[in-house]
Amino acid sequence: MNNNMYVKSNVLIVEADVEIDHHRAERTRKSVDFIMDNMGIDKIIFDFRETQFMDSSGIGLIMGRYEKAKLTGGRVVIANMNSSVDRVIKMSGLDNKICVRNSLSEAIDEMNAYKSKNV
Amino acid sequence: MNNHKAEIVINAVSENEAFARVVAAAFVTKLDPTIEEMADIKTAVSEAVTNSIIHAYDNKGGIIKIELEIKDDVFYVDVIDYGMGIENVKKAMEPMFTTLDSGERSGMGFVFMEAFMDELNVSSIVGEGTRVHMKKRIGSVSDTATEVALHGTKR
Ligand SMILES: Nc1ncnc2c1ncn2[C@@H]1O[C@H](COP(=O)(O)OP(=O)(O)OP(=O)(O)O)[C@@H](O)[C@H]1O
Ligand SMILES: [Mg+2]
Repeated sequence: MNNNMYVKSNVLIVEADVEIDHHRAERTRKSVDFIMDNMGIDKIIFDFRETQFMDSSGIGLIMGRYEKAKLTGGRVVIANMNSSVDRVIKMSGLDNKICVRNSLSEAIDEMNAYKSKNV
Repeated sequence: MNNHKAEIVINAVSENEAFARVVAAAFVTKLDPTIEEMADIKTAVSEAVTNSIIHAYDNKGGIIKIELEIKDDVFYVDVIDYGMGIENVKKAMEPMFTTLDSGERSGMGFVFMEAFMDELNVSSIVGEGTRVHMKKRIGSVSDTATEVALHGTKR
């Protein structure tokens, strides 16, 4: 149930929880912010491949990281949402602000393209 | 006449968010809901319970009561807290309205409850608490409602 995260080529990849509610989102937020603050990382990919449930706390989690990353010229990309996660993301309008990709590899490509534009 | 009732009382702590929505989903299985209907109910209950924990009780704990009822093919759920209450319910229900400016809240909770359930009623008294009443018809009738919503006409 705990999410895994790892850093690859200066990008933090978060394997999001099976269920993202307020309880889970808080734990993820703390870990992600710790890595952002202590490793100076501001490029984050949320991979939702395992996620079956997400409520508004998940929207807040992504939004909050997006705002934080933006402060230092960073970026958030989200990938691999199933239909129910996709539905709440669309309803919240998050997809108008944040880059959405179908797979993790497309998200990584997107992040690399962004890095080479913004050295 | 198909009639069932249940009531649970839980502590307002974040660990109980998952418990509350799973209980609601288990209760509604009597009506043989679709996976989507089940997901709708889980999301709506999760939103209401989370609001009681973080807004009504400001993360300091308290008591949340959840009343569940099935009448024929209709599911009802009430989420009740005895926390700080809502000053302006109409304003609170507007999309993107939030009183927590931490940047971690999107102000979408009531919007999701409204979208995923057939009916949402919020009554609140400042200093006394809040009751969120929700209703959802399970089965063929709500499929027709979805059809109408999607295609605009009743066939
Ligand atoms: N049970 C409650 N007790 C007191 N205030 C509440 C309660 N539920 C909601 N509110 C108030 O209504 C506002 C809107 O609630 P809503 O769930 O729509 O958004 P949010 O909780 O602020 O953000 P999100 O749900 O997107 O994380 C809250 O910010 C809060 O001020
Ligand atoms: Mg809320």
